Amino acid sequence: MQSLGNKLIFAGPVGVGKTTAISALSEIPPVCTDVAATDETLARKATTTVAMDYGFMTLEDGSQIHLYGTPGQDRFDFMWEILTRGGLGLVLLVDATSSDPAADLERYLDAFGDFIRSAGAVIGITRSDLANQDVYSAIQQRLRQRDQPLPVFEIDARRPEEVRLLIEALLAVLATGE
Amino acid sequence: MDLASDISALVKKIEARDGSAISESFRTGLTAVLQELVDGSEDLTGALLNSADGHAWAEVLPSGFDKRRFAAMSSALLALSDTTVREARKGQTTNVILEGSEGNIYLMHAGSNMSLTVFTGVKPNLGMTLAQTRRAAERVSSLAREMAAQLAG
Repeated sequence: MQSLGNKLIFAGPVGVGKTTAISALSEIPPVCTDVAATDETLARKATTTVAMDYGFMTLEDGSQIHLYGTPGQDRFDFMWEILTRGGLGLVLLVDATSSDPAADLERYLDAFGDFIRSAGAVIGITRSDLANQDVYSAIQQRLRQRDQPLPVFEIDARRPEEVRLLIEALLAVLATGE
Repeated sequence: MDLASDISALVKKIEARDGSAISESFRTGLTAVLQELVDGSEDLTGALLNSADGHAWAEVLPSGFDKRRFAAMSSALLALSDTTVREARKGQTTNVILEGSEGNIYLMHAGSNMSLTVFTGVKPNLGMTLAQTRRAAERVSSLAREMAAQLAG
């Protein structure tokens, strides 16, 4: 563990719950850069992250975790590259109510491909309770097809204990991978 | 809803009326403000107006500049500046100044939910350029107010 703490990055589509997850976990009021949405994002929510979210948490063993959230839209992909620098792992969130969650998964797995290869990743499926399809199985199947056996969890991004589970799983992946 | 102060709401209303992303006359008016700004300054080489969530609305840019990328980067820079200024309890962002070895970039709000970004050559007159840019930002706001009045009337 580095003394400066570990940096983890949250990624995924617009409205999946990245800002919510970081807000749920963070011990400090999160740094957010939400602005009014003017496009199709409005169908989901009034505001959207355009630069980054930042939060901070301490694990039971005393290790410190810095949490960075990325903007979801492709046009902010320059922030993805900036925010993943020096990061240890990726929390990729997928919305179960999306029209094609497995396609969303692939899009972000590809976009963050270099980072995932040099770091670790875990998948969190949000809004499973509202989905009318078995998204968990679809995601698992797609990961098998890609030969990327990443841990997958169904979570409620508003619940700290569920998001914490993702973080712990990611740290376990990182510990065994090293 | 105060359309004059909420330009994204204004644009939505224009879209609802015209069915296009942004009405051509409004866009033409915005572009004219930017063109006049760049033409009237010895230091400015380009200007870009974008929504706070990173969509380009009007631009006068040197060739090779991708307006979509700059619109996204401008909105991210300004949003992060707003958050930093607010958390440091320094009021509101007046402008953001980026100094490069080959020229500067200034960013500021233009009304609510829009930002104006300008690009300069080497060693520009900072005060003059910022004042000219601020006037253009105010003209953008008043164009938006006129548009809102037209829609209301």
